[in-house]
Amino acid sequence: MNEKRGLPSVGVFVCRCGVNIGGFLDTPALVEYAKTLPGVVFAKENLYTCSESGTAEIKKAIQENDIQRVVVAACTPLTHEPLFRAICQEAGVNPYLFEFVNIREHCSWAHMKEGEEATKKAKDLIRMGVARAIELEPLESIEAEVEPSALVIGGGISGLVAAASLAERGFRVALVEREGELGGMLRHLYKLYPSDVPAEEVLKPWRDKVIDNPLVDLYLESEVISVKGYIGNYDVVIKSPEKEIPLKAGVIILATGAQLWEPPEGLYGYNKKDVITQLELESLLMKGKLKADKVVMIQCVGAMSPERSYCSRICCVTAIKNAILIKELNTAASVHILYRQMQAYGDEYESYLRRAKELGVRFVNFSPEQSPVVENQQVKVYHQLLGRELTLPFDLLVLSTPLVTQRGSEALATLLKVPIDQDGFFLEAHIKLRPLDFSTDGIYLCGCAHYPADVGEAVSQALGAASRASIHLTRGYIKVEPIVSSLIDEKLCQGCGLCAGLCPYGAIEMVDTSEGKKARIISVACKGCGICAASCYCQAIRLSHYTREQLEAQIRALLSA
Amino acid sequence: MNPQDKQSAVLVVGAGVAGMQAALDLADMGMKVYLLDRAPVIGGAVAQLERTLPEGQSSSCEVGAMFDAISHHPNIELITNADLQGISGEQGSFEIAIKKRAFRVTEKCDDCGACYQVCPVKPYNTFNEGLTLRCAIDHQNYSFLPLIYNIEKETPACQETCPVHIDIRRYVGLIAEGKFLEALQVIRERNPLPSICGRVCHHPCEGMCNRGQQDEPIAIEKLKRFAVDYEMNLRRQGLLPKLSAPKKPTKEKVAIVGAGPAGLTCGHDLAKLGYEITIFEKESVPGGMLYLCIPEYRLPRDVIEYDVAFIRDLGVDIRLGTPIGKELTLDDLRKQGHKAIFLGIGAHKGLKLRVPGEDEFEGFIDCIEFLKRVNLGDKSKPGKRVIVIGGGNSAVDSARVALRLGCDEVYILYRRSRKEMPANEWEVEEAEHEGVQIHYLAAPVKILGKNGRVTGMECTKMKLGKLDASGRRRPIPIKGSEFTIEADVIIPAISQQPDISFLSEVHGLEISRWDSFVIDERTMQTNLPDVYAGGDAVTGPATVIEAIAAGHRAASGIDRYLRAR
Repeated sequence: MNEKRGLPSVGVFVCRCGVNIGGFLDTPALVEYAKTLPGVVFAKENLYTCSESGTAEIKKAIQENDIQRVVVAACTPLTHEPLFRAICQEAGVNPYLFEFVNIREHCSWAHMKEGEEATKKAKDLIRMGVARAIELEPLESIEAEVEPSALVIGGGISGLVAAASLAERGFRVALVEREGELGGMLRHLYKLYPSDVPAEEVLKPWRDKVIDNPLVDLYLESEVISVKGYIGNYDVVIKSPEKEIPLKAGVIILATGAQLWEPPEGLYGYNKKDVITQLELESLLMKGKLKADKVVMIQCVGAMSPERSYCSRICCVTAIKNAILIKELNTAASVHILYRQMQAYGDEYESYLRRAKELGVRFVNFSPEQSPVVENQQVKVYHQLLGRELTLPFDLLVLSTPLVTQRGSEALATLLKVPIDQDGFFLEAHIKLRPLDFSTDGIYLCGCAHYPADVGEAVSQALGAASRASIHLTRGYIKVEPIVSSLIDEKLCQGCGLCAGLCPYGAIEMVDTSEGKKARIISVACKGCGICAASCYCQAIRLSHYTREQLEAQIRALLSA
Repeated sequence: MNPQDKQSAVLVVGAGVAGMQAALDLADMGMKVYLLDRAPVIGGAVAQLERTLPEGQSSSCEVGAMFDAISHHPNIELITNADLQGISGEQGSFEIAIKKRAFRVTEKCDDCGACYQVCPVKPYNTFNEGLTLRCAIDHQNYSFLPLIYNIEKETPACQETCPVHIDIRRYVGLIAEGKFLEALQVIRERNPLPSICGRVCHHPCEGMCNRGQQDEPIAIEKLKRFAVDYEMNLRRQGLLPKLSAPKKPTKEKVAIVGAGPAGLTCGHDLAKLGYEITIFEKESVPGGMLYLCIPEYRLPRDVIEYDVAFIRDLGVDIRLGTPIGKELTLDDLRKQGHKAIFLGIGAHKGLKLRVPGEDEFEGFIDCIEFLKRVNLGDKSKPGKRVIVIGGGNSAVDSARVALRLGCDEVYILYRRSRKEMPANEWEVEEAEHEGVQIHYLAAPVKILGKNGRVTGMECTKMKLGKLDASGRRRPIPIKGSEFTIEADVIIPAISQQPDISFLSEVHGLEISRWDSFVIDERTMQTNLPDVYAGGDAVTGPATVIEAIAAGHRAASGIDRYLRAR
């Protein structure tokens, strides 16, 4: 205990961050100032507090000065808080007795030209940090067991791959497919680009793996109707034609795929006979019923438009593939592809495009302002390079329409409490760092449910999602950060259910007690966002590490200057 | 391999974002993960970017979280600054060979940053795609992992080639800066005989010098000579402090047989480590072959003395005229308290020609015998017309010495062509210039004599056939091409062997069929644990720098042996 005022002893470390902070703020003055603050027994500056020598100094100071609260005034918690917490732990101080003050982004960088003022602001922030640090409480991370089984929603290629690879690792998998047959979109495709292998050849081995593996329980013509619980401990109800089946799952993989946007009757003369979609063309090719000498394809039909502003990614190479197939069936056939932007990226697709051109497929670029017009079995299109309108007679017009979100996505999103984007596709936790995870732990996604993907991409994503999911399944337990909400006193809770409704992570459930309905917080699922604590009228919920006392102390310190 | 020996460890090669994420996922599953990268730090290309697509997030913020997770993950072991060398075995039991480059900054580094502000070496900054310069010592980026300084340093080709690995780049650089004495210090770090090597080293370093691809290699050998000469002159003028009195040895006694380059080096190294060293030398002069065999015009005697004085100064007791043999055996040395013995006896016994007449007539003198006699002061003419047989440096030296003593005609007979001649090219050129007549592609057939004395030699011409084991084309005699050279002296210089006649009958040492000592090449230890050998006594006739290298190795072997006892 601090002898000065009976407060815990606080150590303050001011980082110069090379010139990033030291070049703008008067860091020695900050150190001197920190020493005057209540509770502070030690203050020092470092050139780089995050460096090996900087962290070693923290450890040394903790041990030599019996420091009980650590305040680092440096950069952003986003990158360095875990580091300093770990340092505290290594030195024997509970990692949650650490407070980060950001004097780089908030002072030196934000007010580069006002060094003096910025130094003053840094003093304020340090004072606030020290005040809060004194109020901090030690926390211990929360552990929970993980049920070693998975639920995979969707029996298309990505769902099959995910289920098969989890089962191969020895975990029980429940695979739920809405239709009566496994395979999803691939069942309706003829051959796949760029190797022209029949879709069935790709599908079959994965489907066999799933069917043959006794660890996979197949639920066809079934839907998930209820999901409760949290990572490691989901209670799922599946509705099959016969009955409702409850089961437990540790993790969930969402692989519901996408569907092809069907144009309204009459768009470009769409009639499913001589004006069809690429998917309908696949079916003609598969049945060997294609009879056409003059084929025209129009790309981006219903895509990259105000309603669907995104690029569906797969349609360009699909069109190229089908054009090649037509040319190979009938060399004399003329094939025109009218496109806005040709998305044939990478060496493989680029050479595929070249092959189509070598076979005589004609590519005509049009601008969305001068879209093609269809009348009298002719497509009229303004050729940008020739600077004049072309008239292309056809006996088959193929419309390339985008993949759109699967029907029922929104309901599923609500059920799982996972987000969807503006186009209705499921939204990952982080576009680059966690592309296969949802922000809710324990739920993963792969394939076209996320965004239009070709088969190769969908398979990669499914393997990845299975791998991510099996981290928790393999370990058998999860450890989560203890910054969570808790009910201060059950008596305070009026059972209004507002918190449970607002919780974005499904971490609060309402339970019946002898005193009536009460909120129950599932700590393992809680992410510590604080929405419940802030919205509770009765102040019955407390968020650890951001308690009323801690925040008040911080605000008081600000106003005390 | 048993199934239970299977490892649940994974090697991830490459520590960019993909490698880092794979390592984290595998480690989270509970597996031991080795994360390998060639760079000193992890992060790969993404960590080099300012911002990343599509949201324009600062890349260090993105990979920073991964760095933190990796640095504190108990299951991940970072292996940076290392190359994958090979993979053997099979799934479940791979064996991986990794070569790790040295980190030259230790944990004592205080992160003060002073080094990179003064570092004069400026390589291209690979972090900035070579657009700017950085210094050889640097930390790659503050937010990188591990947070270390690193000196980027490759071994230059010259240093790599030099058998004793002198830091040539450094000393040549110091000479360029005018720091001649400092340069000499650098040379002496690895070479205790710099004056000698500045004159007679066959300098393989220059052959590998990259500058040679441009025009001519750096004159490394002559620069070394210059640095020593500079010091020598200062010392002679009394401008340098006298060599200080030797320190008292603190460790065991070690005996060295032979004061040639191998023995001198071994004694030098061990004396520096604190051992009490006595070198027993049969002849009345130190230096071994350097003194006895290399003519004075190539290597002045005071130069040898100059280097030897430094070694004496370390407290090494060089006992001249003290042969090991019947009077003083190896066992006697042991009894005197020597805990280890190094045999650096050289290869002094000339091989016979094995042609008819060799043992019949007088007038034969082996090249080593001949050079020794001259170098020890006998300047009499060996005869009027001299034939030297062989193509090595000793042959050329013998011929030139004979000519300089006043012989009328001197011939060298060599059975291959000039290209194959092992003697230094410039020596051959100088010999021809002085008037030595060289018969290439010629070999002796028969010695001619009269009244018990040599009168000449019948020779045959040769042609070159297929490559032999030495990588040279094998000479084949051409029938009917015989010719005769008149001569009264014949000097065979066709190779030498160690003279092991000094050993007692029950010495117990393993000896090869060429009379050389059989040793462990890493430690130079013979089959007797306290006896070490090196130099020509092991390799047969070789170069001074190779003998010095052997001396170094033996010294470290002896040191380890004695410390382990």
